[in-house]
Amino acid sequence: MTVVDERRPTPGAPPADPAIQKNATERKRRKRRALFRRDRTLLLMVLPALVLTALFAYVPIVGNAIAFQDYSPYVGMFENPWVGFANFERVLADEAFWSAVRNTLTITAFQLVFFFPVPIMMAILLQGLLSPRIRSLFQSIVYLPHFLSWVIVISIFQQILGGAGLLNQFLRDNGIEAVNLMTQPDTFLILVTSQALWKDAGWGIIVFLAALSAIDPSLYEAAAMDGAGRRKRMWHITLPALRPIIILLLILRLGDSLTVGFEQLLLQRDAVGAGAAEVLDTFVYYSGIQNGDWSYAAAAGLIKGVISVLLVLGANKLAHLFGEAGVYQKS
Amino acid sequence: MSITTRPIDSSHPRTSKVVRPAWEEPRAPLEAGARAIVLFVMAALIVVPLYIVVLTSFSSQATITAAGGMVIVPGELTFSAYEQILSGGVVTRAVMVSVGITAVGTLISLVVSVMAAYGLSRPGSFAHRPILFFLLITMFFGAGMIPSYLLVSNLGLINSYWSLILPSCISVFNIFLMRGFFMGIDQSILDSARIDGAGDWRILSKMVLPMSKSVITVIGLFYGVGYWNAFFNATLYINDSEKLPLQVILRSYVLQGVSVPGQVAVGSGEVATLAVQMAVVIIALVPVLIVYPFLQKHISSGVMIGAVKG
Amino acid sequence: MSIHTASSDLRAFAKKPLNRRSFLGFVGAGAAAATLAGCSTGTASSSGGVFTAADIAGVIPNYYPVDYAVPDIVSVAGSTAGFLTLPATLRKSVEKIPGSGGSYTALSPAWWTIPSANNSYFKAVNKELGTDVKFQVSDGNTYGEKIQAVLASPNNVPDMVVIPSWNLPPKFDQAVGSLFADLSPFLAGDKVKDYPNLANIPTDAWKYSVFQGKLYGLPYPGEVIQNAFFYRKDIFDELGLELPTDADSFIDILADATDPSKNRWGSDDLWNAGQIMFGVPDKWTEIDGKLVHKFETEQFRAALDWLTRLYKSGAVHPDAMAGNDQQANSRYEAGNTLVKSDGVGGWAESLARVLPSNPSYNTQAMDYFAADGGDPVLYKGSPASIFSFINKKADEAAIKEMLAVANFAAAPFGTAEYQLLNSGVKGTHYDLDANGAPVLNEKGQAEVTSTYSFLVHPPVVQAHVEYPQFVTDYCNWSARMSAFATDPVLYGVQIQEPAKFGSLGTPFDDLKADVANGRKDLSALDGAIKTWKSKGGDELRKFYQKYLDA
Repeated sequence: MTVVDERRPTPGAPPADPAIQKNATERKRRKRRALFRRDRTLLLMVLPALVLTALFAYVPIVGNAIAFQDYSPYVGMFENPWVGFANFERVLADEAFWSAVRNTLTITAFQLVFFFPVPIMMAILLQGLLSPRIRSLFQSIVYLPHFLSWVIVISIFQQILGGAGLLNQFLRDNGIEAVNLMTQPDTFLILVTSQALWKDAGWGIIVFLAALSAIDPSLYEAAAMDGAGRRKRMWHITLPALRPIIILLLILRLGDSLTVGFEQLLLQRDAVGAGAAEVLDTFVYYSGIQNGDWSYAAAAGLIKGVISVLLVLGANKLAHLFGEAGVYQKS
Repeated sequence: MSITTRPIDSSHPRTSKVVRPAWEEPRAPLEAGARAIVLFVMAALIVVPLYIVVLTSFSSQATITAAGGMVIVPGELTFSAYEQILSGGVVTRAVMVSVGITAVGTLISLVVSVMAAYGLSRPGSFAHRPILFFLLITMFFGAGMIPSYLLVSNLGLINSYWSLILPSCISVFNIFLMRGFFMGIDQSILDSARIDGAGDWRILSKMVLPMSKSVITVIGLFYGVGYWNAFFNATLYINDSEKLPLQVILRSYVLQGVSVPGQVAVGSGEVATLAVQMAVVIIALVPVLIVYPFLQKHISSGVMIGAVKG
Repeated sequence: MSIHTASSDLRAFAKKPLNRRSFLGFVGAGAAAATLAGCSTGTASSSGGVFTAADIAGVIPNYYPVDYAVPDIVSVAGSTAGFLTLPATLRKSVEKIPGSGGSYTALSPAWWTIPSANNSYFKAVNKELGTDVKFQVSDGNTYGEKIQAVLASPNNVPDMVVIPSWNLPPKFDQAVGSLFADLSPFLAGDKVKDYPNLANIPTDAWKYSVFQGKLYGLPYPGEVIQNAFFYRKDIFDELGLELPTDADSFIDILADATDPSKNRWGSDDLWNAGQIMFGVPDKWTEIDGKLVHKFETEQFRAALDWLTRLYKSGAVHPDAMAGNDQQANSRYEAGNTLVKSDGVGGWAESLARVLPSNPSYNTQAMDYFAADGGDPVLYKGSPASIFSFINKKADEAAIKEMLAVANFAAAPFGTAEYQLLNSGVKGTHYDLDANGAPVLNEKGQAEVTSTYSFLVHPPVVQAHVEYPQFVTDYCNWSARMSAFATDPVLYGVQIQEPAKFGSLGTPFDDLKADVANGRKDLSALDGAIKTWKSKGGDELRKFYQKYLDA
């Protein structure tokens, strides 16, 4: 098996001139140029994505500069008065903002433990099913709730768990006092996660099914021959094979963590009170967007973005420490 | 150097017999039973509410009123909710628009994403870190609604179908995911091909793609669903009602009607009954239900590279 | 697309307010609820100077009422007039074809299925108009966002733009002058005589359409009383319940009627009408010459206390307590709640929905009473709920043509034009039933929607001649209630608030949910008021005081 040494120039390139060898930077530049030549095609392949991103993502992102202005849409973008960090101060000074951040982080942390692993486990459970018929039947059902809007999902939950719902009708008929599970701030965390599980766990298994199918079955065969039982095989083959994808998704999920459930929480804000249900996105919505206070919303968005980037980079570094590639790495 | 490939089709629907690999030990009945119960409960938790939605969509208004909302025990059944929605041709037209946008959009998105993911999947390639960072950042900073609208307007795309495809064409999340899968492919095989003189285009099309049916199907599904479900961009950028995609039309059924004082004929502004709202939900699900089974077997199939010999 | 894009889509969608806090509901309830909630309806910072009553009076049309049909129930003190039958002959109010072949685009909202463009209804009306009006119909729930985006991009502003009063974007005072045409030169004073149907629109509605001292908007007049307690008379009679006469007995009656085992609760969320019962002003009231905001009033406190006691009594449906407003009508119509608070526009609609399957369904509006049992204080609702504006880029001839179209659209009940606009073409879209009332057929239901009617609208009348009993009940109720109608402070003056005050009201919506559900004590109101004052409430007071003094 030949191994390509990344550090050597490709065959055909002129050998390093002894005179230049003394000049380290010149060498580096040559290497870079060689690398560029080698990867020309790859870069060409990336180009369309870069152009589209630059145009449709970055140009509007520049619009976030309104966070530093007192923005009016009817005045040219750069003619708005600049107010420095005034909007940021408004956001950070708001007690409700910090309450929202607290809720956001709590919900994210809770879901990281109680939501994130579930699709993985379901996928593994499913993979072990022998009957392909049952497996595909199951698969074709569990992903469906993903397509229901949150309005419908909350409505369904209310029909079953709400004060006038099935559960309580059953309780009342049997002489037990009714309890409205949809309006308890204390158990709201569990409710929110259950809803998320019901709606999206089935959809989440798809990625892991694909990852599982990429595992070479001969590895299992070999392990079984060596006497490894089911549990050992899962621990030593399945999970390690899934590890890169899990880590990748975990990090990306972390980056998204400040965006936890907008519509879902908006719909239930009154049921349990803003104290339990206000998250960053609903806060920005009520304080900024709803009233067209775009500068405020942009400032909050920027704060959120900066924190998310730090979270992702931090998580990525952490992954590197554990020897994983993470989202991206140096080499 | 020889490479053995073995197609694994572990969820081939034609196999009705349960086939256990020779090396796998039979499952303990307790374990099998527990697994069956868990899966059954999960499935039931999902099927029951869906059943309620379907049932309500087929129930008459009288049944719904008597049930006080969603219908659990079947009463009088009728197609009238579906009739109301599907007559008039507006929905059929919107379906065609949505199908067109989804098909074209998914194709473009997949092509661009596959190229970008592959282009970034070679360890140590030129500038891959800054490029990845460049892409990653866009995930965390949203574009404002008004700047996006102005951009689309300045590009002359207002009221064009392209406004529904191009701005949302790239999902950085999907690119990263696909890249992750590509990087999981044994690089040594690709390197050998490179040594042998194969260019990257060849490697991508002849080696990487055939090995990645599974992830491409998944990402294609993600993109497709994204295009299919999107509606706010249509609300914003499209002015002509003939160009509106399905989700926008369907959502207009779900809203409580606003009655305008002084209108003589009440019928105008069909206030959606609960049955119609549920029918809308089901209609939106049908295309997904149709497409997904075809994709399912690709998701679980992997073309495997066996041990590299020699 | 990835999760991320999908969620940002959801985020964008959910920017539509999903609760009573904004406008999901009826035109009357929408405008009234938005003001009742105290949150600014998205209006903008004041750049221009303060305008006075004299300024306003100088730019609005004079009032010349026209009579094409005599109402069976006449208007009393501004109440809504009613018709029990369609006039035998529908007269034409516009003698010659108003248009001259122009073609115009118009942006308009729809809270129902979006009609197909260029259908037979549009064709028929455009033919009568002599112009080609091309409507860009947009989802009503996200209309606020659409308006903000469109107005930010002047090249994309159509010839006519409909903006409901609760969707007026922030900093609108800057937008209105730069984007839309000043209509005062065409309509002020006696110039309106060129457009007799426009002259038929009451003066208050025109006053409310004056922005920054100039007439920009074409109004959709509102009704004097826009919200009510609705109750199921059929069930009340069946259970032998009496109507309440004061706030406390109200709670008792509702609590008595509650029987969860029969899936029946006394009421839904009664906050809106409840505030009216306590005489809570929409925004400001004047005490000793000083402006007092509704949140600061004793009435608001009393109303919140009442609502809390109502919730505690167990008489309110659990889903309503959980903030589910969208199914309030379903609950009421199924008999799961007996009393609801709603905009008056929902009354007829409710009948249409339920009567086919439940002929004994009887919903009525309750006569208001003051919380202590005396005469109620009913503040008048906004004189206009929806406006349309004409693009500033239009030249004089185009503006005149569009105003002629508006004149057609403002044809009052009893005219052939009104019938055409609201019911379409006889035979194609509707047929007359036994009472001579137009009933839309399937094609009519799909094609005939409120589009032209949003450009401008004649004075509101109750003309559901297919439900003559309803018309009688409604108009008599309206007449009785109008006797108690009184002008709120700064009634009918169109003032754009600075955007930064927009979210001052949100904590009080949250407070209501928390206090009523027992999560917080009523005393939390004091803290909220103090915060409100320091965060901008006092500034807001000064801002409005200027207009009061002008």
